[in-house]
Amino acid sequence: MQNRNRLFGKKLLLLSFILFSIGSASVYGQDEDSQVRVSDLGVVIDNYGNPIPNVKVQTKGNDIVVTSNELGQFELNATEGGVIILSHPNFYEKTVKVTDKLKDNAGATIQLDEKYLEKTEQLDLLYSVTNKNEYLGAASTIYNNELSSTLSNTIISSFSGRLPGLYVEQHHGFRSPSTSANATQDLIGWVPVTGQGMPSDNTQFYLNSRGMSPVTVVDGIQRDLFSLDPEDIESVSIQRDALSSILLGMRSSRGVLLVTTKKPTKGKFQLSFTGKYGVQSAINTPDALPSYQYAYLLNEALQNDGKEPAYTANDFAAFRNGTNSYTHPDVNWYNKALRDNAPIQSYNLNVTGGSKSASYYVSVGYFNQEGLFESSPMNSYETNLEIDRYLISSKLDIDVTKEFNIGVTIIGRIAEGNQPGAGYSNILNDIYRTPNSAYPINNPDGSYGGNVSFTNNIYSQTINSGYITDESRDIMANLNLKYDLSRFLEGLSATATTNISSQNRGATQRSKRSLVYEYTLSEDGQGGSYDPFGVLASQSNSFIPVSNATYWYGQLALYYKKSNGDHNFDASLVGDMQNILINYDLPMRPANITAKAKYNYAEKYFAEAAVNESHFNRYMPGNQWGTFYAAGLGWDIKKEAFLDQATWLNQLKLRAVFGQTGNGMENSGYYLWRQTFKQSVTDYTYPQGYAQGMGQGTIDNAPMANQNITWEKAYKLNLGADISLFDNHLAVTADFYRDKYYDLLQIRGKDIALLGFAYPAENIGEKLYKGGELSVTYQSNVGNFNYFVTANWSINASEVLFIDEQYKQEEYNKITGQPDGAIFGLVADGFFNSQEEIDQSAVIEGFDLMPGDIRYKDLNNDGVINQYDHTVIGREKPLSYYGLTTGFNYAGFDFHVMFQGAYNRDLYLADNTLMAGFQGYGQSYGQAYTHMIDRWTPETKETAQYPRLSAGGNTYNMGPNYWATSFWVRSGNYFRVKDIHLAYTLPPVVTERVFGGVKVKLFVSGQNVFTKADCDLVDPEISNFGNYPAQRVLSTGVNIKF
Amino acid sequence: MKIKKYMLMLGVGCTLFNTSCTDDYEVVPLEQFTLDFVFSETDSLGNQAYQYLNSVYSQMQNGHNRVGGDYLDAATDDAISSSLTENDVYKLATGQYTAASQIGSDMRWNQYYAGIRTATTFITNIDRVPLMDTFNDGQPLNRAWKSEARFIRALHYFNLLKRYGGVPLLGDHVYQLGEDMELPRNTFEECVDYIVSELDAIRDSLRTAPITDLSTKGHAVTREAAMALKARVLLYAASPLFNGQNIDPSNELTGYTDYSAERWKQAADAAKYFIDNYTFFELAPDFQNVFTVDANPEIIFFRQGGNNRSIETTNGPVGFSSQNLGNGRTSPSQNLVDAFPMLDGKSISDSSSVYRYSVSSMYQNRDPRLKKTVLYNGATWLNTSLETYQGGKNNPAGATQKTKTSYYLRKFMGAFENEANYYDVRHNWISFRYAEVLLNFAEAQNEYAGPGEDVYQVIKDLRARAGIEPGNDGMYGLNSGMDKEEMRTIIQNERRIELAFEEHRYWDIRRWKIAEDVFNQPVKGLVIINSAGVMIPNFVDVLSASFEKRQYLYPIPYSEVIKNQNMVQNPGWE
Repeated sequence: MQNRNRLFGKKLLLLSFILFSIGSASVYGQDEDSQVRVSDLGVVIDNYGNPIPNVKVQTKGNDIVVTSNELGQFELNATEGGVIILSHPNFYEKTVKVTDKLKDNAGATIQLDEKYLEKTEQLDLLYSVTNKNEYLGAASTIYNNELSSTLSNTIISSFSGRLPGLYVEQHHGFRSPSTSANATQDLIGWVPVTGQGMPSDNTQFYLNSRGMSPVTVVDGIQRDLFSLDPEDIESVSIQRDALSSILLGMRSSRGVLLVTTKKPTKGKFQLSFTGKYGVQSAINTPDALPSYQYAYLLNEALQNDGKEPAYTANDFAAFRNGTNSYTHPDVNWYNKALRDNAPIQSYNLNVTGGSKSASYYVSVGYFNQEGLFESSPMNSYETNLEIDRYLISSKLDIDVTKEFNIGVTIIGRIAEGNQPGAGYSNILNDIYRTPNSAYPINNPDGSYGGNVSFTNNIYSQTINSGYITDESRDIMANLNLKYDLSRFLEGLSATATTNISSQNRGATQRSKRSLVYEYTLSEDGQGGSYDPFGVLASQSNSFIPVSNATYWYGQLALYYKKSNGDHNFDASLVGDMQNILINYDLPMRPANITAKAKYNYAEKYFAEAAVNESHFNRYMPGNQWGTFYAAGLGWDIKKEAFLDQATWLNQLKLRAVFGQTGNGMENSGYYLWRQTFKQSVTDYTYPQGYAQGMGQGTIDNAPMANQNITWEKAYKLNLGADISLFDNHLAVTADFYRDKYYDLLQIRGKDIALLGFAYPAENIGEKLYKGGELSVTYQSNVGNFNYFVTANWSINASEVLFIDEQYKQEEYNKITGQPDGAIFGLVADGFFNSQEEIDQSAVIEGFDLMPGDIRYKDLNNDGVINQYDHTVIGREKPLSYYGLTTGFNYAGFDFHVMFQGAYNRDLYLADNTLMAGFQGYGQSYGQAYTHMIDRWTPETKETAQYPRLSAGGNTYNMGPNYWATSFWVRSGNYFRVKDIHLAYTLPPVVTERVFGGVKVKLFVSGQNVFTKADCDLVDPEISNFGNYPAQRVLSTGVNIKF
Repeated sequence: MKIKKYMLMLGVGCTLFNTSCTDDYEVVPLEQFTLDFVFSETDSLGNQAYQYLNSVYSQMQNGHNRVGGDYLDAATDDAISSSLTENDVYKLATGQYTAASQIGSDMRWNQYYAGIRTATTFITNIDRVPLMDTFNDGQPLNRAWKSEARFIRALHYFNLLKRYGGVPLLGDHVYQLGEDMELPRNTFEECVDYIVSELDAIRDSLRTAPITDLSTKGHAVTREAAMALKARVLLYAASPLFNGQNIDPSNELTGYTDYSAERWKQAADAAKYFIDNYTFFELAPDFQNVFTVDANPEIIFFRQGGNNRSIETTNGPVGFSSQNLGNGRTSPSQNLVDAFPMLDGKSISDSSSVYRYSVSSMYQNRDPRLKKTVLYNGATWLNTSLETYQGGKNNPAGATQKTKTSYYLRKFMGAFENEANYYDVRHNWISFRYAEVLLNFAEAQNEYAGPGEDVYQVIKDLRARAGIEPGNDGMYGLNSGMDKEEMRTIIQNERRIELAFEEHRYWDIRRWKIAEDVFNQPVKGLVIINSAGVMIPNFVDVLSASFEKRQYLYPIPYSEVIKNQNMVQNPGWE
């Protein structure tokens, strides 16, 4: 009992977190026994043990407030047994009890925990930094905490649901590296593939901001680089207005996705190590029909089509009873070729520190992710899908003199991938399309099963097809020079930046292929014969140069800043130039000069304007220079005298930005303005005479030139408001935009084929995007229980203003005026239930219809279904998406959960393998899935979900004449519990004693834990089963800091 | 050091801000071919121009398995596709197409105009090239090359003409972006006249058969090819669909608005001109060799298809694997089999034949061309006797592609009857051969002047070559003294079996305007039941085709009509 009491007492001590003592016990006042004076020895530190300045410390029930100094120290009178409260915008509020138990200790150290939702005064912009209260554009930013709880090979995984104004859709569950060469081998030698775009390491996500894919900028350099360690990232910001992106000149229409890596921290040496280990499993894979049901339904389909049945009653029995797994197999390929789960892990170690004049940040990281494919111990090599990534990043920041500062950054990355020699997406496609009954994995003699249609055994492809490795090597080196020119002119400074960045991608193919054998039971049932099919290929060894890219960037800038009373003036002149060499192409050379001026009066009225001259060398001479501009105004109403009394209001800022921007470069093609011809020997030859091997090359017409090709343009307007209330506990940001794009590259409406040439894209289209984004954050605490809720919502509407649309008979036919991307097609209206219904209905010419086929609406009532009955059948509503994160911090526990979803989203499930089944495969029929059981039959006509079965493709039901039909439009709305994270920081008392002051944090987390989608046939994002499936990741890890 | 270098580069880069800065790279990619390079004024060998000419050639199609993987003839009553999936020939045979939903593999409007553009580009630019070479008779080479391109352009126009009727003629103008492309259609008559005038104009500047260097120049267009095309064009123009039975009698776009027997005479004369003047050509001694042996005297013009096994693999009987793999794509019909006469030239229903036809032994004592055109149950192939009965080795149960009629295609393949394995065989697409010219003449002559001796002789020659017995009267089964209608039936049937699968039947039944009757009959196949070794054949309907009058001509693509105010749609497709 006594023991327990002692323990309990200790616990209390621990839990109250009192690392607080009273040094010199000078006693004041009259109440000498109950009042103690807290001396100057109180120190506030963060998780690394570094002091935190500007912490507000106050005693409860007392108005005395003191602030900690540069060394984190503070001084305060407090009553023993009383309570003091520490608060800081970046840290969770903490309440500490004053005890005299620690009276005699030398000092009191109080550790504060960083807030999950970071709040900073500054905002990183393209090439510069601004105070947030001066910013007039639309930016949403997330910081390290929000990025690092996700375990993935790319930082994009953590964007969705967190950044309003950025729509992220994952279409691939694993990276899909390119392994195709940047040159094609021809008889005349290697022929370069020209005009390839800038390589991106994002192969899994679509990023869309206000209808455009944003330009990614990593530490000031335009590079599509996402496979980075989240531990090294300080912030990611999506900036969507014209002013924020105007420095990009010809690329300024698209918005900026700004990735900023961590900067060195001056002061004491800090070390952080993070290790994460997780298990991934596939979600939302389709349910294949077992063999006997497949056979039964295929017979029904063939019968419907008036064809001979393929299976007999004996076959059904054999499939059902599994009597002979060689002649009547039932192989669930998903289970056989794929494992249930696979590991994923990540480790990062970073250190930072430095003296007054120089500081450093160095980080090394390793990441490994395995795929779900089976592999065999028989191989001495790995065949499974895998990625290994090594990252090293180092930054130096040196103050050479008081006026001169040098910053150096070097980021190096090596990524090595592996996959089965057959190519992992080929295997997934085969798994998806091969019926369970197609063939056995192995024949009785051990050979791989297969037949004339299925000539490449899936299991053999998985474990016995050799392997393909790919690797990419990246290096990015930045040099930033800053010179303070105040001695010449107060407030003037100059910067010079240069960057050299290069990427090398290659692959090594060591693949092979085995024959498959069809086993036929002999008529007497004894033994059987084996017929070989397919191709036997021994293991090859070839190296494939995938791409080579070198980027050079140079920038010179002058900045001028002047304050005169309430007048604050800022101006800058920035000139930059890039030299982008991709493979064998002539370099791309975009260049810009931008002048920018900024003014504010007492941080109450704001004005900003910029003008840009932009140049690109791949347009026709004379069309190479463009002018772009943007301007903004802001007003913080709270600063007005009439709102002085409204203490509940902290900020009420209105802001507006308008600009004219451009979208060029990538869509310029490779000198598209020149009429050229292409030569090829292997692709197109015309054989000469009768001689063998006398194929002679041809010179063919290349795409038709468009001499006038130029950048697309836009007028972009953004209106926004920032509101902060109740002592900054509640923050609301709202933005509205109206972006009108014009001169969009499109093929003209009168692209008459008599020209004999495919028409080139011309600058003719016009589209409107408009919508808004809203984010609301509430953070508060009850004592030491700190909690927060942050939610965001975005909506993006669009309208096609001009596409040079040709005559459309009916108003509802017209694309002009409808949203961009709206699906046009026929409106389905249930099923025909009898021949009489068919006879009395309008139908499409040329099809023999049967009961069970889909009925389409005759919108113009002309008695026939044709192109005049097309109307909008999907994606007509503005896409909306949202995210909500909530969490708390209490007693060492950190918890947060993120919900994410989208609505007004339509999927067009035109995948016939899934939706109709029994598609042609080789010389036979492919797989079908269990939902086909709900097909139309005369018995189930009331409840049928799908049209009658048909084998080998039924264009009438699946999309007559390649027209879309509303029958296959499904709601793509979904809601996901995207991320759950629980962390526990060991109490300092424990870490102090056991680990010598090292801070230890343990955590568990889950991604894609739960999904609720309107359509359960496919994953709402990865709706293509040939792509790697969506993953659920459950992980655990540790973070150590000192 | 590096840093210094880049700092320097930065400085230079920012000061020399425009393109005028000279450096390591050229301003525009020099490796790109421009028109001045392709038709170079300094290239006396014409290397690039010749490759461009190859491009003109390459836009002619190889007809083997051309239409969505099938022979075009699988869209007639001669065969169906064995494919398990919906296929283009099925849609063509059953009329599953409209102006807005075209069958891309045969309705190649865009591609023909692309071919015309390529040819015209060549024609208008080749004279810039200072070619030194001459051919045979000292003719300058660029005249020949230009004429070859003009022939191919004429062929494209003819391909358009037989599908759509009159189409816009673009002449020698290469249209550029920005020019008004809303061109009207020319009339049927204008198109025929244009094609014929082009062919007449180029005749004397082309190579003549025999070409000396067959191994490298055998594919080249010759004057004989031009005259064979002229004979074919005039035959089509004289045919009922365009001459007298225009589907829209007063519409000049869809055919002539009147009937003129003279047109038959022109067709007959054109064929006769060929027969009389180009005596180099004759019927190859062996029907089999026409398709697989190089440079036989029957071939007028071909597109090389390479030395391979692709036709065997695609169309050969199923039931073999490895090197002998066949996928049985084409299922010839019973209708076609029944069209072959008995060995003495009499039809199978003709009781005067010396051979008795019976269903149980229907392949015995037949026209020898039958077994060189189709493979049937019991035929010898790859050293085995084919089993195309239900459940037989070459017609197994299950869902795999196989014959739907119990027949497989035999024509075009090598002589693999008594071989163990397939090996590579020449698979050229013979687009013009002498037998067709003879048949063209016979048909036109019969229509214009009736069945004279010259008409009889053509049929006798063909039958003699085929291996049909001349009979005691030396008439190869022909009745003497037939009238024009009787002879017409004979010629039409002879054309069907002689030219089967060579892309004639599909157009013949249209231009003869008998498609509606032909497709009124079901396409038939065979189901053979093996009852304890006894083969019981059952005739079954494998396809109920349909044909509407408007299908005599294809619809012009809907988009072309919508975009072009002057484009008039064909009747029935508006």
